[in-house]
Order: sequence, then structure tokens, then C-alpha cells
Amino acid sequence: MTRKAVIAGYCRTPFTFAHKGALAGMRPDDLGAHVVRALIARTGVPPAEIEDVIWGCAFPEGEQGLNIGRVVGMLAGLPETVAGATINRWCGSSIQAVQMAAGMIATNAGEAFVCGGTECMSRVPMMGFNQLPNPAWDAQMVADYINVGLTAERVAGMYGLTREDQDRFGHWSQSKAVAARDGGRLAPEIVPVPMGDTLVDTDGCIRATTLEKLATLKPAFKADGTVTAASSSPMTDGATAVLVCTEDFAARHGLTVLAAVKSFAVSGCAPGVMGLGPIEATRKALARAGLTIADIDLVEMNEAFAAQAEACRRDLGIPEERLNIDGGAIALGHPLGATGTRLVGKAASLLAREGKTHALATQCIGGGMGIAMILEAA
Amino acid sequence: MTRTVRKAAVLGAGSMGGGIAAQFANAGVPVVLLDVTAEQARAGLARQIKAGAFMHDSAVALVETGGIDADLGRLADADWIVEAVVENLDVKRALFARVEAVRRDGAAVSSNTSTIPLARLTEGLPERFARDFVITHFFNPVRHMRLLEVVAGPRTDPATAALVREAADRLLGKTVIDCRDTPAFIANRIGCYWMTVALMEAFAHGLTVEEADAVAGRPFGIPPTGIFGLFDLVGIDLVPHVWGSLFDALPADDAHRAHDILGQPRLRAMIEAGQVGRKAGGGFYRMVKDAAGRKTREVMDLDTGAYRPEQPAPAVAPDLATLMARDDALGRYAWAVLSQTVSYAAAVAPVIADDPAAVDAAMELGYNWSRGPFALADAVGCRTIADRLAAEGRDVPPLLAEAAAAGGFHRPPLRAPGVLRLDDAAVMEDTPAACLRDLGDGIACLSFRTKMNVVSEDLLAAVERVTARRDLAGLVLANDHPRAFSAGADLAHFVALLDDPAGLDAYILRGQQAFRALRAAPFPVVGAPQGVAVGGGCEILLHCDAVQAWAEAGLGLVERLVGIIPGWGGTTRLLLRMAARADLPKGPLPAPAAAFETIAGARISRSALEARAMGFLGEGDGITMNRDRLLADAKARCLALAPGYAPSAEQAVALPGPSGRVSLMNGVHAARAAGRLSPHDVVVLEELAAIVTGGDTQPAALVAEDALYALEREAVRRLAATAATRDRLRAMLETGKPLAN
Repeated sequence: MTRKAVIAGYCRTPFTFAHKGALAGMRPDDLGAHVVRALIARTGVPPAEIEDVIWGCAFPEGEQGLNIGRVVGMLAGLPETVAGATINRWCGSSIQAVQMAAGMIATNAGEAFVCGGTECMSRVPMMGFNQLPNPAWDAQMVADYINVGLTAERVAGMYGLTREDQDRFGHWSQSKAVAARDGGRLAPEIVPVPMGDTLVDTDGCIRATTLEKLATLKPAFKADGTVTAASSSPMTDGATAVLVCTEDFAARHGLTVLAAVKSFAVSGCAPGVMGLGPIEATRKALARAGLTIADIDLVEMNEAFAAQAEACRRDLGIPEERLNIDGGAIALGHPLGATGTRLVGKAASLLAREGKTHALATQCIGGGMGIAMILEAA
Repeated sequence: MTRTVRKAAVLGAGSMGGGIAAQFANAGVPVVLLDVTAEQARAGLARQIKAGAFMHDSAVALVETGGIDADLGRLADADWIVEAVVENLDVKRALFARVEAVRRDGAAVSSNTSTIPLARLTEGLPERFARDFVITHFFNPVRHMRLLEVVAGPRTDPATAALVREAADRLLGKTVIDCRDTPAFIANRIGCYWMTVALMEAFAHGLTVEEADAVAGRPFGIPPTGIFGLFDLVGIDLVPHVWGSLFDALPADDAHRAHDILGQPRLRAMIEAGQVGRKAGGGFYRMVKDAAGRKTREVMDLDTGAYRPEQPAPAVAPDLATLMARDDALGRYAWAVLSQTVSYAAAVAPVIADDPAAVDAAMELGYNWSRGPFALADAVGCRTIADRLAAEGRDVPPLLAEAAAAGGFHRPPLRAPGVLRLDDAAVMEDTPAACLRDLGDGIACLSFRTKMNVVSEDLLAAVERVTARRDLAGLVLANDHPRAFSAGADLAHFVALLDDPAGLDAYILRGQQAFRALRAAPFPVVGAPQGVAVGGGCEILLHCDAVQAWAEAGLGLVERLVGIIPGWGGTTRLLLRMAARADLPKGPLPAPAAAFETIAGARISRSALEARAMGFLGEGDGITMNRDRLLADAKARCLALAPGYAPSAEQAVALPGPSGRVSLMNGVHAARAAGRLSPHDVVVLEELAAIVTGGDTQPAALVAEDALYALEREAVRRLAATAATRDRLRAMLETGKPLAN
């Protein structure tokens, strides 16, 4: 029989704007180590029992280089016997990290894993310091691969999503996040970060705003386009972590199990419509779990852009009331390599909090990919 | 020990105090800016940022704000404390007493008062305070107005006055004019009088606003705002304030009292009605939108106070002597204003200034007159003025009578010690395109003198000749054009060569070779931009061993706007500088990307600090705050480089090749999609991207600089052959404005 991987803890740093946000002054490896220390403390897992730190990062260079997964574990004070790896699948990096752990558990390659991710977009730019695409690609191919904002414009056109549709989606995400924050529903997952004399303990990107105000923004990527800053996820600094282990391990160490990994899938699509990646990935993951979308009680889908998230929601038939109930990346922020673990950790936490059975965590990925993981209540 | 200002403090964060603090920061001097509350100080700082008082964002960090009550102790280590609070004697004196308790021994204290005599400011304060106290009267906006009036008292320690003068001169870039402790010092004493006379005589002569401004503006060498436009700019509501306190202070027999400006009915009515000038939406002039939505200007009828459409300005002779000989209202007005202004200046000069030349300097720098009153009198003829005054039975002040007898005032311009002027130097070679002078110590100076100092073939020839010389220890490139170090390539010549590709190639190659000869010459070359250096003007600076720039110099590679790329080595040199920078990330792309960004941006820096941030100035390059000192500083830098000088070797650099070009172009396409670039911009930038990424190279190879120069030439050749580039060039030549095709 295969061994089941469970999520036995989740936490994250506040997410704050790149450059102008409160965490811009902190190194990504320090931010990652901070969240790992908190995960260890909150779950009570004995650090020496951990097999590996599997760490997602979309642009693992500069301060995010040197195999940041290993660096984070060392800086967090984990025993040197705990290994560390860095996983790069761009925005899908840290869902992939969780799946790596689940796979290793399934093949008897370890019992407990710290999975997570860091992206400090203040300090390592999106697309890296030396963006050097293969010159054999033509300009359109390079643009489709890299200029994700234009892919959102394309998806909006394909699905007939207007400026108003997208503004409404962005406003909806903000409203849900404001309500969750004000209702104290975000605080439990947040690890405050000391920055000098101040303690950064709340998300910095959430904005209480109005549709009227959003309507005044200029298009961000295309002169006559429909995608604005308010219908895009912002450049963000942040780190996230989950504890992934066997059921047996959790029981032995008295850990609180939030959910179990039920199935997983990745898929590819045309780079120019990368935002549609979640559709096929979700269908594959549902099939592998023997479920339909109707069986999914809660969806954590990344909102890279309102256009792609709404397109995926419509295409997959996800009821609005099940989608990103505490707000999505447009409001919370999207620290690329760290987002996947937030989606998994959040989905697992919501299953426990809401008393539901099945949840989906899914993302689109630049270059034309989707990634999806289905979780079930423990 | 030499006293210098390493830290400054400013009390009062209003427009003057904030501006003074910003100028210290521009000079790299940390400054504490206090107002009543820390919040007011922060607001004052924010206003200065918005008003453009800072030469670069990085300077803002040097200003530390605080509240006077809470933070006065932070003055303890300041070397110069400038007071710029409300113009109220009691407030200032109370503050001085508190400053006295915290300031360190020998720290200079100065007041930015414009009206209160030094004697009263220091009355009753301890000797220790009086010893270190002077008045420093700055002009607004502080960053751009070069005049600083300094008043030292009888008890002032000469060393303190020297410290302030030196710091104001070298750090803040001001021309320091020593004034006596008399009402309104020099510039406002004469300037307010001139404003009164020009205004009151306009009414007396029954002139319209347009007529008065046409006479009182350009013919006098005064900014074209003239007199009514100037009152609108200053704010008519300030008249009771400023003139009121001036009349309180002036001697009883002062000639200014002959004009009752405070009682002028039109002015009073306008103040009553709130028609106080530009800040209130209108004064003597106002802007209105016509039926078609176009902005047009209306002018007040001085008799009725009603607005009417602006009339064309009357034709007046540009030279004042001709104008004032006219036997009509305009001629009589010109004479009335000139005769009274010159008489007044001649009458008060011996009282207000040690040297009458200071009067001219103060008016030129404080009121932007192209000539002060004595230089103006010299231009018209002192004898003419004195004779006409006498014929009209008016007094001829002794100073004017002396000047008339001596054939003019002919005051040598004021000059601070250590200032070097081009006129001082012997001419070694003189052609219409450039003049080579001997600055002494083996250092020569090549000054461009074409129109806007454009780089013509003749100018290139002059560069070729000087670089071939073997009798120089060093070369400075400097000129004293009021605006342009060099406006770049000779655009008219470039356009003329469009149908002669071989000729164009030769021009580009010649420019490259001449500029590269500056690098290869056996002596150091220092560029000293005192104004805008754009296009080829910036490229020649990029070939210098060092640049000593005036702080307000504007450097820029703006070739994209005319559809080409910097082809006289500017692209190559900027790229090589970026490649040598330690603050960029490693790898093949960051240096090309940085050079690309600067050139694609096609912006002119608004300061030398900004030019440094853009990559045009490097670590070894210097900034001179005081434009008058630029030439001496440049010569000193050249002399410092001369011993054992060896030309730098040709460089080679690792560049990314096509993958880097693809990467940069991806950003260009994104910017084009977002509407930030025009179609032909994409074509131009494709050429630029290919050069900065090294053409067909790959990161494991080195590209020689010679190959980069060749890539530049090919790019210019290809672009010059496109219709869109030709349209851009012709549009710039004809309209002076870039065409976004």
C-alpha cells in the first residue's frame, strides 16, 4: 500500500509589496529561515526527524542562489543532518516542493519534510539579473514566455472578459481579503517578522478600495488593454512553509494533521495562454482522485491576473463562493516561488477550519503550464 | 586647523529654509532641518522635493527633520546654523538665545533675514554669539539663484565670516556679495526701487500693461516678464508687506519715498479683489480659455480694472539708447525708468556696498538682469545720462558725474579668490569653431564656439589639431556659453549629408577618431560641462579621462529622439563604463541593460548628481557647485592627472550576444505594447540592443572596443537610410521638437 502524505502545519510571513513594502530590507534566505523556525516551533516537530528541506524559488540566483533550500535549513538552525534542495517551476515551485515530499513519502524515501518557498522580488528581479532567452526563439515566442501581462490580455480576449469583469474580480479579491484580515482569519497563518524596532505582522498589499477608483487606473501592459495593476497580482516579498509527513509520523509525534494529499498533476499549454494552465492540470488531478469539480468544497487558485483566474473558474465550473474565500493573490500578493505553499497550506487549513472534505490548490505557470493538487480532510 | 562645514543646520522649513537645507544636501553636507514641530519640518521637506530643490533623490536622505523644542540639541555638532524663521525680531532673538545654549564653540550662526539690521539682531546677545554671527540673505529658489548677500557686523570674527563665505561659495555654489548693514542690503534695495519706478511711471505715462512690459523688459536686459509680469509673479499681496517694511527702514530722505507705491489705487483695488497674481489665477495678466478651449492671455485695463484680450506688444528698439530718445510716451517712460534707476543706484552705492561693482553683480544674480544699473548706464552712455539729467535740472549724483567724466563706470567684475576665467588665459589658437587657450602650467583649454557649440567638421578639426600637439601637459574642454557645453552633432550638416552616404560615413568616422584621439593623446583630458552636454556633446565627455561638471550640468544621450543611436563612441563608452561598475549584478546582461536603459531613455540629466546615477559620470569624476570655479577645478583635476600620465589601453569586454539582444528587445516590445514607445523607436532600439550586447558574440568571448565602434557606425548608416529617421532629423532641425513617428 502506498503511504499517504499529510499536511501537519502551515505558516507564512506577511506578504508585502516589493521595494516599498516593510520586508524589502530582508534577505530572502533569512526570511525563509524565519518561517521555518516558526513552523518547527508551532508544530512541535523534532527537527532531527526531518529528512529534507524542499524549497521553491522562481528565480534562484543572487541572494536566492547557492541552493537556497539548503541555506534556509542551516540558517533556521536545523541539524546539519537535514538536507536541503531548491525546486524551480517558476510560480509553481512550492506546490511542486510539496509534491516532491509526497512522492518521496510514497516511495519510502523519508517520513517528514519541510516544504516551502521564498521570493523577495525587491531583491531578485522577476526574470532574474541575466535574462538571456535562446535567440533561436522569435520575438513572439520570447514575449509569450516572459511578458505574462500580455498573456493575460490574450486570455481576457479569448474569454470575453471586459475591463469591468476584471476590475470586479480584483475588487472581490480585495474585499474577501479585507474581511478575512479584519475578522482575524489571516492572523493564525502569519508569522510576524521583526524588522529593526518594528514587528511586521500584517499583510501589506491588501487594499480596501472601490470599483470607481479601480476604473480610473491605466492599462498596465497594453495601451488599449484591459489589464491594470488592480487586476494583477503585485510584486511581493514573502516566504511560506508547510510540514509534510506520513500519517504515522504525525501520530507518533502528536502533530495536528490539517489534510492529506489526494492527487497531483502538472500540465503544459501554449506559453501565450499560460494563464489557462490550471484547467488541464485540475482536470488531470480530479481524474486521478476519482472526483469531479462538484466534489471540491474549497478552491485556492492563484490569481496571477483576474483575467486568467476568472477564465479558469468559468471553464472549470468553480462556484464563486468556493473560490479563494479569504482573498487571492491580487489582494494578498504573489511572491512567486512562495505562493504554491500558501495555496496548499491555506487549502489544508480551510478544510480543517470549515469542516469540509475536498480542496483544490492550483496555479498557472509562466511558459505555459498548470499545476494542481487535491487535498482531502484528514 | 581649517574650518569647514561638515554638518549644517537650518531653522525654519519654509520655502527659504527648506531650500537652503536642500542645497546643503545637494553639496553632500548632512543637514538638520527643524521647524516648530517635526511634522512641519517634514512637510517643508516634502514641499522642497516637489518643487525640485534636490539635485537627486539620494540627496534627500542627507536631510534630517525635527522639531525645535524636541531636537534643538541636534544642532550641537553643526558647523553652520542658518536661521530662516518668520521675519520677526523678537522671535529670531528668542531663538538665537536658545541656539546659543546648544551650539558648539566656533559654529557659525547666520540669519536669512531680508529686512532686519544685524545690529538689532545681535543686540543684547552675548559676545560669543555676536562673534560667530552674520546675515546670509539667500534668494528664492535657493538652488537656482546664485546670489548670496552676506553682512558681517563690527563684532563678527573675521574667521567666522570667512567660514561662511567659503562654504557658501564652494559648497552651496553661491556668488557671495559682501553688503553693509543697510536696509534691504543691495539687490532688494535697488530691485524694489526699480520695481516701484517702473510701475509708478507706467501709470504716470498712461501706458498699457503690454507697452510697459515691452519697454521695461528686454531693452533693459531684464527678463521678459517686464514689470507688470514680475508683480504677477511675485504676488501683488506682498507689496504692503515688503515695501511697508522697506519704507520703515529707509532713511527719511531716501529717493524711494518720492513714489507712493503703497497708495497706488489700482494696486490697492487688486489686493482688495484678490487679483494678486499668478498664484491667485491672475493679476495684471490672466490666462483664460477661449470658446475653442485654447488658453489665451488677457490683460487688465489699468484705468478700469477690467480684463481685455492681450494686444500685440509695441515695436520697440532693442537698444535702450535709441528707445529713450523717442519723443513719445514709450521713450519718455524708458528714460524715466533708466534715469531714476541709475541715479538711485549711483546715489546709494557708496552707502550700501564697498565696491559699486557689487551693485551690478547683485542685480545680475539676484534679479536676473543681464546688466546691472552701472553696466546699463555704460551701454547707454554715462555722459548722455548725466547731460540729460542736468538739462532737466535734476541732480547728478557724484558717482555718476565721475563716471561721466571718466567715460563710464567700467567696473571690473567682482571675482572671488581662486576663480579662473577663460578671458584670463592667453590665446594659443583661434578659429571660428574653437579657441585654444593657455591656462598655465602646461594645461591648455579648448573652448567650442560654434552655434550652441555643436560639433561641426571644423570643430572636429580643432580637436584633431590639439590632440596632435606634443607640447601640452594636459587639456581641459571648457567654454562659457550660458547654456550649452555642446548641443551635439551639427544636425544641419548631418541632414545635408543624408543624400551623401559616403560623406555621412566619413563624418561619423571622423568624429569617432577625433574623440578617440582624446583618449589616445599623451596627456590627460578633462571635460568641464557648464551647461547641457547632449548627444555628441555628451559623447566627447565620455571620452575624457575625467569630467569636472558644474552641479547643474545636463548630460544626456538623446539620439533616439532623432532616430539614431550615439555613434561617436557614446554607446561604446557608456557600455564599457557600466561593465566596470561594481554596483551592478554580475553576468553578461546587467551592464548592457544599464547602458541600454540610459540611452533608450534619451533623457537629459537635471543635475550632475543625476548624470552620475545615469552613468555619465564615474567615480573619478568631480562636481563643482560654483559655476565660477569650474574652470579652476577642471584645471586642478587635469594637473593632478598629469604626472606619469599614460593613455588608457583599448578595452575588451564579455557581452551576451544575440540572447541579450532578444532579452532587451523583449522589454522594448512590451513598452511598445504599453504605448510607451513609437513604431520607429522599436527600429532604433533594435540597433542599440545589437550594439550593447556585442552583435554576434557570445558570453564566453571578448569583444574589442574597436568592434563596438564599428557596430555604432553601421547602425547609424542603416538608420540614416530609413525614411522615419530622416523625418525625425528634419523635424528636429525645423521645429526643435522630437517627432514620435
